[in-house]
Amino acid sequence: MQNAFEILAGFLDRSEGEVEGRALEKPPAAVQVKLREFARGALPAAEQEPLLVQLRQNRHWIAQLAEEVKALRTRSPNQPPPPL
Amino acid sequence: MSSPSSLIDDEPALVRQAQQGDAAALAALREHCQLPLENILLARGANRGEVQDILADLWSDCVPGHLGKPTLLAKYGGKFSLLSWLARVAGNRWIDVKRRGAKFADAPGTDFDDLPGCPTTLAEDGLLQLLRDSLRAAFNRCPSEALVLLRLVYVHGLTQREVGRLVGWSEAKTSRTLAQAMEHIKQQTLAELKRQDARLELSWADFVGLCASMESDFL
Repeated sequence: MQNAFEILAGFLDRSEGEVEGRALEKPPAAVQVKLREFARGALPAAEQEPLLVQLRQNRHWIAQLAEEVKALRTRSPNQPPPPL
Repeated sequence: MSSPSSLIDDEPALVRQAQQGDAAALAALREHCQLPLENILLARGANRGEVQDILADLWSDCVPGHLGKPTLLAKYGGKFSLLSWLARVAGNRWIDVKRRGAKFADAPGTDFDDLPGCPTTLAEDGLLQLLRDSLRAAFNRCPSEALVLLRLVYVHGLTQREVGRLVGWSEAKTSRTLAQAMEHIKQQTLAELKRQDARLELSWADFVGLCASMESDFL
């Protein structure tokens, strides 16, 4: 069964008419760099809050951040990330 | 985090038995759901007479073979609690009654059962907007950090350890912050719901269940 937050977020996203195509829109290159640093836990604290606000406003970018974190599960810390 | 809860532990088994025509199982479900359903309908503005009529019809529709129609319970898929599902059915029927009554108020003598129903989409607009507005207000008051981390964990499947590492928190602090944020969303949502309609008495489980049922319609 779905968890409560997933139900609520899904309800809100769909009732607000989120366009599925937006999920394909990639963030600007500068944001992608910050997402990658954030995923590695290497984004300075002062830069985290502005990025979190951007993520809140562009919630389809959160999926990309999640993918970056998941990719680290199988990648060794010293292995360079794939090109953007 | 809790899922939409059932009123009774063995609800799925009782529903299956009731779907197969077990009158005792149906009676047990009715005993557990009747009073909450009455309160929900009263809270939405139905009077005592309307509540009794709607719920009498609802329960009789749950009896297999009633008037040769398939039982209402056959449509229940178990995705969320039976009470949430029945509350939605009863709520829609009440909205239908009000709309049909208003439209045909000038036609005395017309048999109520002969009156046309209103489209389901129209009947649900008000409830959908109320749920959405209450929830949106609660999400808007939630800090960006907590909202993003909640999505990462509960929508995208990251562990609390992984999201804690992003912001430099221990797993314990992450767990505590997410639980507090979820509780904050719950309290803010119910408070906003109350502010918009003071008569409405929905539990958190009912609210989540209604959102789940609404969301399944979007898919």
